[in-house]
Amino acid sequence: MAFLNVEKEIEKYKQELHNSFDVASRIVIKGDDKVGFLYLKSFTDQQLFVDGIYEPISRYQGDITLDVLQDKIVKNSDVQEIKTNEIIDNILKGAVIIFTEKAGLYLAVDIQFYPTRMPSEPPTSPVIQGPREGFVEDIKTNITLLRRRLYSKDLVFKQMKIGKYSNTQIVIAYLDGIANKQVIKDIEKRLKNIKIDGILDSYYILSFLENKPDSLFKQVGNTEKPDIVAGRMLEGRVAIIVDNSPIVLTLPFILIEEMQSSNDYYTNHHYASLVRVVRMLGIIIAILAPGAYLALQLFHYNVLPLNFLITVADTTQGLPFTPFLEMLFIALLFQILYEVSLRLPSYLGLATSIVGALILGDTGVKAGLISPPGVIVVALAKIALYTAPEEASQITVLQFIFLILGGSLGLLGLAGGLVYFVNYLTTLDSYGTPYLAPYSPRIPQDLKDGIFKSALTEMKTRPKCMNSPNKVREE
Amino acid sequence: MKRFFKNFKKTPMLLVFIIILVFFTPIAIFSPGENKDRAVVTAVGIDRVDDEIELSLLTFIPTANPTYNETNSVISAKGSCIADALYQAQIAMGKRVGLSHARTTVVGHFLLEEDIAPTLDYLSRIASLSENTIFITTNSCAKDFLKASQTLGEDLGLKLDQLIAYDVKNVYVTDTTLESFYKGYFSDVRASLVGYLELVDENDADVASMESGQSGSTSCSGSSGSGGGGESGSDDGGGSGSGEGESSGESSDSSSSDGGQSGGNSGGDAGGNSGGEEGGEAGGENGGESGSSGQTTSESKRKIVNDGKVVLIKDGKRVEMLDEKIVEGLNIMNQKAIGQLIAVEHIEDDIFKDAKLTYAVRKKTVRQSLKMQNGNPILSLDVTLGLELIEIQGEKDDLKLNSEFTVLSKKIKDKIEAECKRSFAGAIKELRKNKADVINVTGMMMSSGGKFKEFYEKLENKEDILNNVNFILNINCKSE
Amino acid sequence: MKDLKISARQTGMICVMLIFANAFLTLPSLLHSEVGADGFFVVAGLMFFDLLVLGTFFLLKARFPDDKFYDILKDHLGKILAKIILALFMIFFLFKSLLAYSVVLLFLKQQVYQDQFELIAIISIFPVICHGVFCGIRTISRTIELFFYIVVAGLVVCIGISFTNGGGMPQLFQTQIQSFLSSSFKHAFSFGDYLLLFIIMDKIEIKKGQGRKILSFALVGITLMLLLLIRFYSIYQVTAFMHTNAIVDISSVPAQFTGIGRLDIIAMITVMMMTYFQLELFIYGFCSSFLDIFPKLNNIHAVVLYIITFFVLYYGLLSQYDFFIDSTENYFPYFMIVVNFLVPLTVAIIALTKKKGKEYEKIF
Repeated sequence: MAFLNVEKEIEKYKQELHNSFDVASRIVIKGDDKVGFLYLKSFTDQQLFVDGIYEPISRYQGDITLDVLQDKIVKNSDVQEIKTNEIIDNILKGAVIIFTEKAGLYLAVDIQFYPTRMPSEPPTSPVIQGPREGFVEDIKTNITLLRRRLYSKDLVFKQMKIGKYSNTQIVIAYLDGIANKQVIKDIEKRLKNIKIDGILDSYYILSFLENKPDSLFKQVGNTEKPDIVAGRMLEGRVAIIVDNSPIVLTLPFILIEEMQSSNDYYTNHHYASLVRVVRMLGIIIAILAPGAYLALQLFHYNVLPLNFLITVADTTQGLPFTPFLEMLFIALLFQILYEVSLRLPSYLGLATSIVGALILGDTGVKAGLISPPGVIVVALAKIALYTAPEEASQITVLQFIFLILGGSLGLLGLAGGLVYFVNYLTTLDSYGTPYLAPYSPRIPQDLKDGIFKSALTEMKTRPKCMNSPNKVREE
Repeated sequence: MKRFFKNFKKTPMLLVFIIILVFFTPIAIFSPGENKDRAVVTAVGIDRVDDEIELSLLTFIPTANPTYNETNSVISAKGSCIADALYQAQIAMGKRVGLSHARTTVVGHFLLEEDIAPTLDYLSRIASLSENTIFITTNSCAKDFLKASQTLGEDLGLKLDQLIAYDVKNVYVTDTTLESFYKGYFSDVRASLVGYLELVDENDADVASMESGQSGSTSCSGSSGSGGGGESGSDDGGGSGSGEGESSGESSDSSSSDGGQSGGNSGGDAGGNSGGEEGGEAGGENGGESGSSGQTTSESKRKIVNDGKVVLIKDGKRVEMLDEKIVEGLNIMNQKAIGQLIAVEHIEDDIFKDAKLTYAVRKKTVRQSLKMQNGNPILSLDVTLGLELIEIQGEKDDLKLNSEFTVLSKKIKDKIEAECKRSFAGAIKELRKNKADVINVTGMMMSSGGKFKEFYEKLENKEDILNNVNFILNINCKSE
Repeated sequence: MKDLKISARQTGMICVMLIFANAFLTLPSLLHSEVGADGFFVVAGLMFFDLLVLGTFFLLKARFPDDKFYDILKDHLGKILAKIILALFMIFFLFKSLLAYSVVLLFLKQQVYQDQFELIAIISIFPVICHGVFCGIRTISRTIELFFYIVVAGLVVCIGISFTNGGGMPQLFQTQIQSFLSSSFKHAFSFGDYLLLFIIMDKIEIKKGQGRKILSFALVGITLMLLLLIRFYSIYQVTAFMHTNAIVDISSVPAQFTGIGRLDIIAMITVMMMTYFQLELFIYGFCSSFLDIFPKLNNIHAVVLYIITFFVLYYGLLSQYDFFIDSTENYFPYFMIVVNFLVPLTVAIIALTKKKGKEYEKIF
C-alpha cells in the first residue's frame, strides 16, 4: 500500500487547475493519518460536504478506506475509487476528491450542486390542454422527465461526452426493440466523430447529425416537451439529450412533423385535422403570398379581378416606390420590427407595437409611402409564418427567395421555384426516411397522422417510414 | 475566387439565383407595375365613322381616392381597322391598352348595317379579350353609349355588364357574348341574337326609338349608310373629335377623350354636365342635321334604357329588332326561361268575372321531339308550365281571392295555351321571315341523324330551315 | 442520374403527366378545323393506340422485370440496332420536348405574360428541369407524386368550371373515315408518350398485381383528356377553331360570373406545373437514351448536349412556330410509325418469344 503526500498532491492538482479561486481544499489530521479534500466551491453542495463528508470523516476513529467511506461514513452510493488521471475530470464534474495518506486512495464523492430551473411550460410550444412540463437545462432532470413517461426496461439512455473543453454530456435515448438499430448506430457513429472544442447547446450537434448541413431545411427534429419526445420515441425515433440544453433532438426527421403540434394529440382528431390544414395553408401563404402578389402586380395584372385591380391601382397611385421596392420595404420593415421586439425588454414591447403599427404602418399608408394591400399581404404572410413557429426562420428565408422570384420572373418563376424546392426536398432523407414521407413517397399507413389526423384507435401501427422492427402499436 | 466557384459547383442553383438577382431583379425593381403601364379597359365600343373604325375605350383611370371608386374615362381613336384604331388609342393615351378586363363590347348602330364579323376579327383573335365578353348593340353610337354608361352606377348602382347579365339570366335567357355571336355567325344559319340597350335623352323618353336614333340623334353613322345619314355621320365623327379637341387640345382625327372625365374626376356626373353644356352649344351651332348632334345629345344627359329587346343578326348584319313580345314567344320553348309573366284577360268562370290574371312561370319543362310527317319534319314541343298567380285585376270580389287557393280552370288553361301559342307563333313567324334559325332546329336535325339529316342536307336553301319545319306546341299548365 | 427505383404508383402518375404536351392546349382546336367534333375520336383512337404501347410495356416488364431496355434490345437485336433504336428515342424525346415547350411558350406569351418573356421562360424552366434530371427519375417521380393531386384537381376544376358555360351536344360522326385516319396520322406525334416507360423500365418496381395500378392511372389521364375534349367541343361547337388554348378556354367563366376574376388562372398554373414535369420527363428520357448509347459519358454531357441541341433547334431551325407545327404534321408521323409502332411491335415480339422464366413477374 502506497503512502500519499496529501499536501503535495492537493497542491499539484490545484496548480493543474490554475489555482482558480473556487478551488478549495481541506486537510484533516487523524493521528498518523491525513485525509485531504479537493473540490470546486462553485460546483458542489457545501452543506452536504460539511455535514455529510467532512465532519463524519473527522469524527471517525479508524482508517479511512473505500469500504469504510461507503458503508459507515459518507453513506452516499456515489463514492468511487478513481485513478489519478480521472481526478481533474471528477473535480470538474462537481465531485469532492478525498485523498487518504495511509491508504493511498483517491476517492471521488459526487456532491455536484448548481442552481437549476424547475420544469415549466416552454415558451415555444404552449398547450391549451395537455402536459405543460418542459425540459430544463439539467440533463438529469430531463432524463427523469422521460423516465416518468416511459416506465419501461426497454428505455435506454446511452451516454457520451463531446467537446474538447466543454466535455458535454450527451445522452442518446431510445426504446430498445422499437427504434431502428441502424439509425442508432449511425447516430452514435456521427456523434463519436464530432471533434469540436465545445458543445453549448443541442444546436451545436445539429449540423453534425444532418445529411446536408448547409441545407436551408431543417433535418433534425427538436422539441422542448418531454411528452413529444416520448411520443416520438414510441414511433421509433431516437432522442438526443444534450446537457445544458432544454432542446431535445429527435431523429429521423420528416417535414410533416412541422405540421404536427402537441396540441393535436390532446384534442379531437377532427379539429386537429382542421388545424393542420390551416397550418399548412399558413405556411403556403407565408412562403408564396408576397411573391404571388408581386408577380400579379408586375406581370399578370390581367388575371386580377377587376375590383381588386381597381383597389390596387387606386392605392398604388402616387406611391413613390415601385411595387417591388414597396414590398421589399414593407417586408424589411416587418423584419426589423420583429427583431427589435425580440430583443427589447418586455416593458418596451408596447412602445414597439405603437411605433410599428401606428407610426410606421398607419402613417406610412396615410403619407402615401406604402399601399394598404401591400401592407395586408406582407402582414398576412408574416403572421401566417408563425403557424409553424419552429420553421419561422426557414420560411422567412423562403419568403424572400419567392418574393424575388415572383417579382423578377412572375408566376412561372414561382412555379419553377416550387418545383425546384420540392425536387430538392425529395432528395433529402433523414437516416433512411424520405423527407416528404408519407406523401412522397406515399405511405398509406402513415397518412393517419399526416395532414389529416385519424383517431388514436385507428393508428394501430407505428409509422412505416421509421422502419421500426416492432410495427404494431395497438393490438 | 476558387472558393466562390467551388460554392457554385456544390450548389449550381445558387448561380442561377444570382443570375436572376443580377439580370432580372433590377428590371423588376424599377418596373412600375403593369397596371400603371397599361390602360385598363372595361368596355369597348366600336363605331363606323366614314370609312374608318372608331374605337371607344371605357378606360379605368387610377386615382388615389380613399373610397376606391372606379373612375372611368372614354378614350376614342379612329383607324382603318380595330387594330389600327387601338394603336392610335395607345399613342394618344401614352399607355398600352389592356383588354383583359373588358367585360362589354358595344357595337354602334350603323356598324351593324354591314357584316361586322370581319370588323370584329381582331377581337376574336387576341387572347387577352375573353370571348365571353358581353356583346351588345344600341340605337346610338357606341361612344355615346359608353359615356352614358358611366352614370349607370349612380343611377342604378349597377355596371353595364351586370345589367346585361340580368337580361341574360331573366329576360332573353340567351347568351349575348362575342362567342355566341360567332357561334351563330359560323353556323349554317349564320344568325345570332345580340342584346340591345337603348340610349335615350333623359328629358325625352319618347326619343327611345330606332327612328329617332337613325334620323339624327346618333353621332356616328356608317359611311355605307344611306343618304344623309351617312353624310351627317361623317361630320359627326369629326365633330365629336373636334368638340373635345377644343377642350383637350388633342388632334381631332386620331383620338379624343372625354374632357370632363379624363381629368380624373371621380364622378362622371359633373364632367358629363359641364361637357353637356358645351356640347349642347356646339350642337346648336352645327345644327340638328349634322352628326355633332350626337355628341350634343350624349353630352346633354342621355341615359341607357333597358327594355329587354334583342337584335337579330344575320350574316353579321342587323336584320330585325325583336321586341319583348317576340322574346317572350321564343322563351316559351326555352327551358331555362323561368320567371316570365303570362297575362290572360277577360276570364270569366266560376270564380272570376272579367278578370285579368297574371301568372309567373315558376317551373318549366320542355320536351322537344322531331317527327317526320309526309316528308316534312315536325318539331313537337311539349311544354309544362308551373304557374303561380301573382296578380288579379278584376272586380271587388275577385280581389278578395287568396291566390294560393286559386286553381287553374280549364278556361284559364285554354287561355294561357292560346296566349302562349299566339306568342310563340309570332316569334316563329318573325324568325321564318328572317330565315334565322336561332332556336337551333338545324342542330337538332343534324344530331337526330337519319332522315332528318338527309332532309336537311337535301334542302336547297338551308338557311330557310324554319319554313320547312312545322311546329306543334302543346302547353300543359300546372298550379305552383 | 441516380439509379433508384420508383414505385408502380409513381409510374402511373408519370403516365398521367405524360399525356399532355399540346393535347390540352392547341390540339383540340387544330383537330376541329380538320374533322370537327370528331377530333374527339381521333384523340380517343390515338390514346387507345398508346394504351396498346402501354400493354407492350407490361408484356416486356413481366418477361424482363429487372432488365434494362437497352440490354434487352442488345441481346435480341444486336448492339448496333439497339443503339439505333435508342438514338431514335433520343430524337423523339428531343422533339417532343421542343413541341411541348413551344406550345406552352406560345400559350404563356398570349395568356400569362405580356412581353419580354423568352428570357424569363428560359431562366425559370431550364435550370429547374435540369436539376430534376440530375437528381434522377426518383426525384422527378416523387415531385410529381406530391403535386399530382394538385395538378389533377386543377384539371378537374377546369373541366368543372366548363359546365358553367353550358354547351350542347357536339355534332359527332360527321366525318368520313378517311379524314379521320388522315387526321390521326397527322397528329400522331402529339401522342406516343408512353415510350418513356421503356427507357425507365429498369427503374420501375412493379410488384405482383401492381400493373393494374399503372393502368388505372393511365386511364384516369385518358379520361380527363377525353372529358376535356368533349366539354371543349360541346361549348365551342362551330367556333372551336378560334380557341387555341383548350384548357384555358373551357375554364373561362361566363361573363356574368366575372366578379370573382378570371378563373382560368387555375388552368394557367396547372399548365405551368405540368410543363415542368413533362419537360423533366422528356429530358430525362433523352439523357437516359444518350447514356445507354454512350455509356462512357456522364449525365452532365447528356444534359449539355440536350440544351445545346434544343436551343440550336429552337432558335435556329424551328424558330418559326408554324413551320414546326407543320413539320410535326407532315414529317413526324412517318417517324412515329417507326418509333411508336415498329419498335413496340418488335418489343412485343421479343417479349412474346421469350419463355416465362423464373424471373417472370405477374404484374397483373
